[in-house]
Amino acid sequence: MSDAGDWCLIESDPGVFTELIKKFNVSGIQVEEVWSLDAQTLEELKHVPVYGLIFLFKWQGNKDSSGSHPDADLSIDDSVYFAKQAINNACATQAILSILLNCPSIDLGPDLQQFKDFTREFEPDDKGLAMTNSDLLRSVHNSFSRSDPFIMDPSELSSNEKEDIFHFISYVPIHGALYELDGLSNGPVNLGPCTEDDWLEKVRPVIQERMARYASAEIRFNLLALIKNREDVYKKRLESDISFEEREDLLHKIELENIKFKRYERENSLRKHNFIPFIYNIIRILAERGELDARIEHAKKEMAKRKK
Amino acid sequence: PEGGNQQQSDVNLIDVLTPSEISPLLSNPEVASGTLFPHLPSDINRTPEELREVIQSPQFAQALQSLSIALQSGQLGPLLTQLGLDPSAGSGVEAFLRAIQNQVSRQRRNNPE
Repeated sequence: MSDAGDWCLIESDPGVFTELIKKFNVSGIQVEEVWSLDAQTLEELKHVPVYGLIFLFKWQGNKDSSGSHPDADLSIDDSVYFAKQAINNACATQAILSILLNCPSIDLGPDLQQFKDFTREFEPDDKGLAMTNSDLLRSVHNSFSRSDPFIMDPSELSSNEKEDIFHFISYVPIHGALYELDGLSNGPVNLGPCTEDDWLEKVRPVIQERMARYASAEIRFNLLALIKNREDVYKKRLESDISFEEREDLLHKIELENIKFKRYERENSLRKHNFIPFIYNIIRILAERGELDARIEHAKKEMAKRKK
Repeated sequence: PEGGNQQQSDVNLIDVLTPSEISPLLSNPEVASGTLFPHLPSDINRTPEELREVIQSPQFAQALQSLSIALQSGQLGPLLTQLGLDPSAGSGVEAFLRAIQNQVSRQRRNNPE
Protein backbone atom coordinates (compact mmCIF):
# COMPACT_ATOMS: atom_id res chain seq x y z
CA MET A 1 0.00 0.00 0.00
CA SER A 2 1.39 3.39 -0.86
CA ASP A 3 1.61 6.21 1.66
CA ALA A 4 -1.25 8.49 2.60
CA GLY A 5 -0.62 10.77 -0.37
CA ASP A 6 -2.52 13.93 0.27
CA TRP A 7 -5.74 12.29 1.39
CA CYS A 8 -6.82 13.37 4.82
CA LEU A 9 -8.23 10.98 7.36
CA ILE A 10 -11.99 11.35 7.75
CA GLU A 11 -14.43 9.98 10.25
CA SER A 12 -16.69 7.10 9.35
CA ASP A 13 -19.77 8.97 10.41
CA PRO A 14 -23.21 8.94 8.73
CA GLY A 15 -23.32 12.74 8.51
CA VAL A 16 -19.89 12.89 6.88
CA PHE A 17 -20.69 10.11 4.41
CA THR A 18 -24.04 11.66 3.51
CA GLU A 19 -22.46 15.02 2.69
CA LEU A 20 -19.61 13.33 0.84
CA ILE A 21 -22.07 11.59 -1.50
CA LYS A 22 -24.00 14.79 -2.05
CA LYS A 23 -20.80 16.59 -2.98
CA PHE A 24 -20.02 13.89 -5.54
CA ASN A 25 -23.19 15.29 -7.17
CA VAL A 26 -25.15 12.11 -6.46
CA SER A 27 -28.60 13.03 -5.23
CA GLY A 28 -31.26 11.14 -3.31
CA ILE A 29 -28.94 9.08 -1.10
CA GLN A 30 -28.25 9.17 2.61
CA VAL A 31 -26.14 7.12 4.98
CA GLU A 32 -27.25 5.79 8.32
CA GLU A 33 -25.60 3.91 11.09
CA VAL A 34 -27.07 0.45 11.66
CA TRP A 35 -26.82 -0.60 15.28
CA SER A 36 -28.27 -4.04 15.06
CA LEU A 37 -29.43 -6.50 12.46
CA ASP A 38 -32.41 -7.85 14.36
CA ALA A 39 -35.64 -8.68 12.56
CA GLN A 40 -37.27 -5.36 13.44
CA THR A 41 -34.38 -3.26 12.08
CA LEU A 42 -34.29 -5.28 8.87
CA GLU A 43 -38.04 -4.95 8.42
CA GLU A 44 -37.82 -1.18 8.82
CA LEU A 45 -34.87 -0.90 6.44
CA LYS A 46 -36.67 -2.89 3.78
CA HIS A 47 -39.27 -0.14 3.42
CA VAL A 48 -36.56 2.33 2.48
CA PRO A 49 -34.47 0.71 -0.20
CA VAL A 50 -30.98 -0.10 1.07
CA TYR A 51 -28.41 -0.01 -1.71
CA GLY A 52 -25.56 -1.50 0.24
CA LEU A 53 -23.92 -1.90 3.63
CA ILE A 54 -20.45 -0.84 4.68
CA PHE A 55 -18.70 -2.65 7.47
CA LEU A 56 -15.87 -0.41 8.63
CA PHE A 57 -13.26 -1.17 11.21
CA LYS A 58 -9.91 -0.14 12.53
CA TRP A 59 -7.27 -2.42 13.84
CA GLN A 60 -3.66 -2.23 14.85
CA GLY A 61 -0.98 -4.30 13.24
CA ASN A 62 -1.18 -6.34 10.12
CA LYS A 63 -3.56 -9.13 10.90
CA ASP A 64 -5.10 -10.83 7.96
CA SER A 65 -8.78 -10.17 7.51
CA SER A 66 -9.46 -12.54 4.69
CA GLY A 67 -9.69 -16.28 4.86
CA SER A 68 -13.24 -16.31 6.11
CA HIS A 69 -14.55 -17.61 2.81
CA PRO A 70 -12.25 -20.49 1.84
CA ASP A 71 -14.68 -21.85 -0.73
CA ALA A 72 -15.68 -18.48 -2.13
CA ASP A 73 -15.92 -17.93 -5.84
CA LEU A 74 -13.24 -15.33 -6.61
CA SER A 75 -13.49 -15.50 -10.38
CA ILE A 76 -13.75 -12.01 -11.77
CA ASP A 77 -17.25 -11.17 -12.78
CA ASP A 78 -17.41 -8.44 -15.39
CA SER A 79 -20.68 -7.12 -14.08
CA VAL A 80 -19.11 -6.20 -10.74
CA TYR A 81 -17.16 -2.96 -10.38
CA PHE A 82 -14.30 -3.88 -8.07
CA ALA A 83 -11.42 -1.62 -7.01
CA LYS A 84 -8.47 -2.47 -4.79
CA GLN A 85 -7.87 -0.15 -1.87
CA ALA A 86 -4.82 1.90 -2.84
CA ILE A 87 -4.51 4.38 0.03
CA ASN A 88 -5.66 3.83 3.59
CA ASN A 89 -7.00 7.32 4.15
CA ALA A 90 -9.09 7.13 1.01
CA CYS A 91 -11.01 4.12 2.24
CA ALA A 92 -14.16 5.99 3.22
CA THR A 93 -14.54 7.29 -0.29
CA GLN A 94 -13.68 3.92 -1.80
CA ALA A 95 -16.23 2.17 0.39
CA ILE A 96 -18.94 4.52 -0.78
CA LEU A 97 -17.95 4.25 -4.43
CA SER A 98 -17.94 0.49 -4.40
CA ILE A 99 -21.65 0.64 -3.59
CA LEU A 100 -22.61 3.61 -5.76
CA LEU A 101 -20.84 2.26 -8.84
CA ASN A 102 -22.58 -1.11 -8.51
CA CYS A 103 -26.15 0.13 -8.23
CA PRO A 104 -27.71 0.81 -11.63
CA SER A 105 -30.79 2.32 -10.00
CA ILE A 106 -28.75 5.19 -8.50
CA ASP A 107 -28.40 8.29 -10.62
CA LEU A 108 -24.65 8.85 -10.39
CA GLY A 109 -24.68 12.39 -11.71
CA PRO A 110 -22.28 13.57 -14.42
CA ASP A 111 -18.99 13.28 -12.52
CA LEU A 112 -19.23 9.76 -11.16
CA GLN A 113 -20.86 8.48 -14.34
CA GLN A 114 -17.92 9.78 -16.31
CA PHE A 115 -15.50 8.25 -13.84
CA LYS A 116 -17.25 4.90 -14.07
CA ASP A 117 -17.29 4.91 -17.87
CA PHE A 118 -13.65 5.90 -18.01
CA THR A 119 -12.40 3.22 -15.60
CA ARG A 120 -14.83 0.39 -16.44
CA GLU A 121 -12.24 -1.76 -18.22
CA PHE A 122 -9.42 -1.11 -15.76
CA GLU A 123 -7.92 -3.87 -13.60
CA PRO A 124 -8.91 -3.70 -9.87
CA ASP A 125 -5.50 -2.23 -8.96
CA ASP A 126 -5.83 0.49 -11.56
CA LYS A 127 -9.39 1.27 -10.56
CA GLY A 128 -8.14 1.87 -7.02
CA LEU A 129 -5.35 4.07 -8.29
CA ALA A 130 -7.73 5.98 -10.54
CA MET A 131 -9.91 6.72 -7.51
CA THR A 132 -7.02 8.01 -5.46
CA ASN A 133 -5.73 10.05 -8.39
CA SER A 134 -9.06 11.69 -9.16
CA ASP A 135 -8.96 15.40 -8.38
CA LEU A 136 -12.71 15.56 -7.86
CA LEU A 137 -12.82 12.64 -5.43
CA ARG A 138 -9.80 13.85 -3.52
CA SER A 139 -10.94 17.45 -3.22
CA VAL A 140 -14.41 16.46 -1.99
CA HIS A 141 -12.90 13.97 0.44
CA ASN A 142 -10.37 16.50 1.69
CA SER A 143 -13.03 19.16 2.24
CA PHE A 144 -13.58 17.25 5.48
CA SER A 145 -10.08 17.85 6.75
CA ARG A 146 -10.09 20.14 9.72
CA SER A 147 -8.75 23.54 8.90
CA ASP A 148 -6.15 23.56 11.65
CA PRO A 149 -3.11 25.42 10.43
CA PHE A 150 -0.91 22.41 10.96
CA ILE A 151 -0.68 19.19 9.06
CA MET A 152 0.41 16.15 10.92
CA ASP A 153 3.23 14.44 9.14
CA PRO A 154 2.44 10.73 9.46
CA SER A 155 6.11 10.03 10.24
CA GLU A 156 5.74 12.12 13.39
CA LEU A 157 3.00 9.96 14.79
CA SER A 158 3.90 7.33 17.32
CA SER A 159 4.36 3.88 15.91
CA ASN A 160 1.09 2.84 17.47
CA GLU A 161 -0.90 5.36 15.53
CA LYS A 162 0.98 4.70 12.35
CA GLU A 163 -0.04 1.07 12.33
CA ASP A 164 -3.73 1.77 12.59
CA ILE A 165 -5.33 0.37 9.52
CA PHE A 166 -8.74 1.47 8.43
CA HIS A 167 -10.53 -1.12 6.49
CA PHE A 168 -13.89 -1.39 4.83
CA ILE A 169 -15.95 -4.16 3.41
CA SER A 170 -19.00 -3.37 1.33
CA TYR A 171 -21.96 -5.68 0.81
CA VAL A 172 -24.06 -5.12 -2.27
CA PRO A 173 -26.63 -7.11 -4.22
CA ILE A 174 -25.51 -7.11 -7.86
CA HIS A 175 -27.40 -8.84 -10.67
CA GLY A 176 -29.08 -11.39 -8.45
CA ALA A 177 -26.12 -12.25 -6.25
CA LEU A 178 -24.87 -10.97 -2.93
CA TYR A 179 -21.32 -9.68 -3.12
CA GLU A 180 -18.70 -8.90 -0.53
CA LEU A 181 -16.35 -6.20 -1.83
CA ASP A 182 -13.21 -5.97 0.24
CA GLY A 183 -10.63 -3.51 -1.07
CA LEU A 184 -7.80 -5.53 0.47
CA SER A 185 -8.76 -8.87 -1.03
CA ASN A 186 -8.09 -10.01 -4.57
CA GLY A 187 -11.56 -9.80 -5.99
CA PRO A 188 -15.27 -9.63 -5.29
CA VAL A 189 -16.63 -12.54 -3.28
CA ASN A 190 -19.90 -14.02 -4.47
CA LEU A 191 -21.85 -15.08 -1.39
CA GLY A 192 -24.66 -16.71 -3.32
CA PRO A 193 -27.89 -15.79 -5.05
CA CYS A 194 -30.23 -13.18 -3.62
CA THR A 195 -33.04 -10.87 -4.66
CA GLU A 196 -33.58 -7.18 -3.94
CA ASP A 197 -36.08 -8.31 -1.32
CA ASP A 198 -34.12 -10.93 0.57
CA TRP A 199 -30.52 -9.74 0.35
CA LEU A 200 -30.55 -8.15 3.80
CA GLU A 201 -31.58 -11.45 5.35
CA LYS A 202 -28.85 -13.22 3.41
CA VAL A 203 -26.18 -10.76 4.53
CA ARG A 204 -27.24 -10.82 8.16
CA PRO A 205 -25.37 -13.99 9.28
CA VAL A 206 -22.24 -12.91 7.38
CA ILE A 207 -22.09 -9.55 9.16
CA GLN A 208 -23.16 -10.93 12.51
CA GLU A 209 -20.30 -13.39 12.35
CA ARG A 210 -17.86 -10.51 11.73
CA MET A 211 -19.38 -8.39 14.49
CA ALA A 212 -18.98 -11.23 16.99
CA ARG A 213 -15.41 -11.89 15.89
CA TYR A 214 -14.31 -8.23 16.09
CA ALA A 215 -16.17 -7.51 19.29
CA SER A 216 -14.34 -10.37 21.00
CA ALA A 217 -11.00 -9.07 19.66
CA GLU A 218 -11.88 -5.54 20.85
CA ILE A 219 -11.64 -4.13 17.37
CA ARG A 220 -13.70 -1.00 16.84
CA PHE A 221 -16.17 -1.27 14.01
CA ASN A 222 -19.31 0.30 12.67
CA LEU A 223 -21.92 -0.65 10.16
CA LEU A 224 -23.32 1.95 7.80
CA ALA A 225 -26.14 1.63 5.30
CA LEU A 226 -26.43 3.54 2.04
CA ILE A 227 -30.15 4.10 1.65
CA LYS A 228 -32.55 6.09 -0.44
CA ASN A 229 -33.15 9.58 0.93
CA ARG A 230 -35.89 9.09 3.52
CA GLU A 231 -37.58 12.41 2.96
CA ASP A 232 -37.97 11.57 -0.75
CA VAL A 233 -39.44 8.18 0.16
CA TYR A 234 -41.89 9.69 2.66
CA LYS A 235 -42.96 12.47 0.33
CA LYS A 236 -43.63 9.97 -2.42
CA ARG A 237 -45.82 7.97 -0.06
CA LEU A 238 -47.72 11.11 0.92
CA GLU A 239 -48.87 11.39 -2.68
CA SER A 240 -50.63 8.04 -2.52
CA ASP A 241 -54.01 7.28 -1.01
CA ILE A 242 -53.27 6.84 2.69
CA SER A 243 -55.07 7.14 6.00
CA PHE A 244 -55.03 10.23 8.15
CA GLU A 245 -52.90 8.45 10.75
CA GLU A 246 -50.35 7.38 8.21
CA ARG A 247 -50.19 10.88 6.82
CA GLU A 248 -49.53 12.31 10.29
CA ASP A 249 -46.91 9.68 10.87
CA LEU A 250 -45.14 10.51 7.61
CA LEU A 251 -45.19 14.24 8.32
CA HIS A 252 -43.68 13.56 11.72
CA LYS A 253 -40.96 11.41 10.16
CA ILE A 254 -40.15 14.13 7.63
CA GLU A 255 -39.81 16.60 10.48
CA LEU A 256 -37.37 14.24 12.22
CA GLU A 257 -35.35 13.92 9.03
CA ASN A 258 -35.09 17.70 8.80
CA ILE A 259 -33.84 17.90 12.36
CA LYS A 260 -31.31 15.18 11.67
CA PHE A 261 -29.98 16.89 8.57
CA LYS A 262 -29.63 20.17 10.45
CA ARG A 263 -27.62 18.30 13.07
CA TYR A 264 -25.41 16.73 10.38
CA GLU A 265 -24.78 20.15 8.92
CA ARG A 266 -23.84 21.56 12.29
CA GLU A 267 -21.54 18.66 13.17
CA ASN A 268 -19.83 18.87 9.80
CA SER A 269 -19.26 22.57 10.24
CA LEU A 270 -17.72 21.98 13.68
CA ARG A 271 -15.64 19.17 12.23
CA LYS A 272 -14.12 21.47 9.62
CA HIS A 273 -13.63 24.39 11.98
CA ASN A 274 -10.21 25.57 13.07
CA PHE A 275 -10.64 25.66 16.85
CA ILE A 276 -7.16 26.90 17.74
CA PRO A 277 -8.02 30.60 18.17
CA PHE A 278 -11.05 29.58 20.25
CA ILE A 279 -9.01 27.26 22.46
CA TYR A 280 -6.26 29.84 22.82
CA ASN A 281 -8.75 32.43 24.02
CA ILE A 282 -10.32 30.13 26.58
CA ILE A 283 -6.86 29.40 27.97
CA ARG A 284 -6.18 33.13 28.13
CA ILE A 285 -9.38 33.66 30.09
CA LEU A 286 -8.31 30.98 32.57
CA ALA A 287 -4.90 32.63 32.84
CA GLU A 288 -6.41 36.07 33.43
CA ARG A 289 -8.60 34.68 36.18
CA GLY A 290 -5.62 32.97 37.82
CA GLU A 291 -7.21 29.54 37.37
CA LEU A 292 -4.83 28.06 34.85
CA ASP A 293 -2.29 26.64 37.33
CA ALA A 294 -4.98 24.69 39.11
CA ARG A 295 -6.24 23.30 35.79
CA ILE A 296 -2.75 22.16 34.85
CA GLU A 297 -2.34 20.38 38.17
CA HIS A 298 -5.73 18.75 37.70
CA ALA A 299 -4.79 17.58 34.20
CA LYS A 300 -1.52 16.10 35.50
CA LYS A 301 -3.41 14.06 38.04
CA GLU A 302 -5.80 12.81 35.37
CA MET A 303 -2.86 11.78 33.23
CA ALA A 304 -1.24 9.96 36.12
CA LYS A 305 -4.51 8.13 36.85
CA ARG A 306 -4.70 6.96 33.26
CA LYS A 307 -1.16 5.60 33.37
CA LYS A 308 -1.98 3.33 36.28
CA PRO B 1 9.88 9.16 18.03
CA GLU B 2 13.15 10.74 19.01
CA GLY B 3 13.55 14.36 20.12
CA GLY B 4 14.46 15.09 23.70
CA ASN B 5 11.39 17.17 24.46
CA GLN B 6 8.95 14.27 24.73
CA GLN B 7 7.99 14.54 28.38
CA GLN B 8 5.99 11.45 29.11
CA SER B 9 4.20 13.21 31.95
CA ASP B 10 2.75 15.92 29.75
CA VAL B 11 -0.89 16.95 30.09
CA ASN B 12 -3.78 16.69 27.68
CA LEU B 13 -5.89 19.76 26.86
CA ILE B 14 -8.98 17.61 27.25
CA ASP B 15 -8.28 17.48 30.99
CA VAL B 16 -7.53 21.19 31.20
CA LEU B 17 -10.61 22.43 29.39
CA THR B 18 -13.32 20.10 30.64
CA PRO B 19 -16.87 21.26 29.84
CA SER B 20 -17.85 21.25 33.53
CA GLU B 21 -14.98 23.57 34.43
CA ILE B 22 -15.16 25.99 31.57
CA SER B 23 -18.90 26.35 31.12
CA PRO B 24 -19.26 28.67 34.18
CA LEU B 25 -16.82 31.06 32.46
CA LEU B 26 -19.04 31.13 29.43
CA SER B 27 -22.06 32.42 31.32
CA ASN B 28 -20.23 35.69 31.66
CA PRO B 29 -21.69 37.63 28.72
CA GLU B 30 -18.61 39.77 28.33
CA VAL B 31 -16.35 36.76 27.99
CA ALA B 32 -18.74 34.97 25.67
CA SER B 33 -19.60 37.72 23.24
CA GLY B 34 -16.35 39.67 23.35
CA THR B 35 -13.77 36.93 23.32
CA LEU B 36 -15.26 33.68 22.13
CA PHE B 37 -18.12 34.36 19.71
CA PRO B 38 -15.78 35.69 17.02
CA HIS B 39 -14.01 32.32 16.95
CA LEU B 40 -17.04 30.11 16.40
CA PRO B 41 -17.89 28.72 12.96
CA SER B 42 -19.88 31.29 11.03
CA ASP B 43 -23.07 29.20 10.86
CA ILE B 44 -23.32 28.70 14.62
CA ASN B 45 -25.67 31.03 16.49
CA ARG B 46 -23.99 33.46 18.84
CA THR B 47 -25.75 32.48 22.06
CA PRO B 48 -24.44 31.18 25.39
CA GLU B 49 -26.48 27.98 24.92
CA GLU B 50 -24.83 27.27 21.58
CA LEU B 51 -21.44 28.01 23.07
CA ARG B 52 -22.10 25.46 25.77
CA GLU B 53 -23.13 22.88 23.19
CA VAL B 54 -20.00 23.51 21.18
CA ILE B 55 -17.69 22.84 24.11
CA GLN B 56 -19.58 19.64 24.85
CA SER B 57 -19.41 18.42 21.27
CA PRO B 58 -17.23 15.48 20.23
CA GLN B 59 -15.79 17.70 17.51
CA PHE B 60 -14.42 20.15 20.08
CA ALA B 61 -12.95 17.26 22.08
CA GLN B 62 -11.36 16.02 18.87
CA ALA B 63 -9.83 19.46 18.28
CA LEU B 64 -8.38 19.49 21.82
CA GLN B 65 -7.00 16.02 21.33
CA SER B 66 -5.30 16.77 18.03
CA LEU B 67 -3.87 20.07 19.25
CA SER B 68 -2.42 18.21 22.24
CA ILE B 69 -0.80 15.65 19.97
CA ALA B 70 0.55 18.38 17.70
CA LEU B 71 2.00 20.28 20.66
CA GLN B 72 3.69 17.15 21.94
CA SER B 73 5.23 16.55 18.54
CA GLY B 74 6.82 20.00 18.77
CA GLN B 75 6.09 21.07 15.21
CA LEU B 76 3.93 24.11 15.79
CA GLY B 77 6.59 26.82 15.54
CA PRO B 78 4.85 29.08 12.99
CA LEU B 79 1.53 28.91 14.81
CA LEU B 80 3.10 29.86 18.14
CA THR B 81 4.81 32.85 16.59
CA GLN B 82 1.45 33.86 15.16
CA LEU B 83 -0.05 33.79 18.65
CA GLY B 84 2.84 35.90 19.92
CA LEU B 85 4.28 33.05 21.96
CA ASP B 86 7.88 32.01 22.32
CA PRO B 87 8.70 29.06 20.02
CA SER B 88 9.79 27.08 23.08
CA ALA B 89 6.09 26.92 23.94
CA GLY B 90 5.84 24.20 21.33
CA SER B 91 7.69 21.61 23.36
CA GLY B 92 4.59 20.19 24.98
CA VAL B 93 1.12 20.99 26.23
CA GLU B 94 2.24 22.23 29.62
CA ALA B 95 4.90 24.45 28.05
CA PHE B 96 2.22 25.89 25.77
CA LEU B 97 -0.10 26.65 28.71
CA ARG B 98 2.72 28.20 30.77
CA ALA B 99 3.70 30.38 27.82
CA ILE B 100 0.16 31.72 27.56
CA GLN B 101 0.16 32.39 31.32
CA ASN B 102 3.43 34.32 30.97
CA GLN B 103 2.09 36.22 27.99
CA VAL B 104 -1.01 37.29 29.94
CA SER B 105 1.04 38.31 33.01
CA ARG B 106 3.48 40.27 30.88
CA GLN B 107 0.68 42.09 29.07
CA ARG B 108 -0.86 42.95 32.43
CA ARG B 109 2.39 44.44 33.67
CA ASN B 110 2.73 46.50 30.53
CA ASN B 111 -0.88 47.73 30.59
CA PRO B 112 -1.92 48.08 34.21
CA GLU B 113 -5.61 48.90 34.47
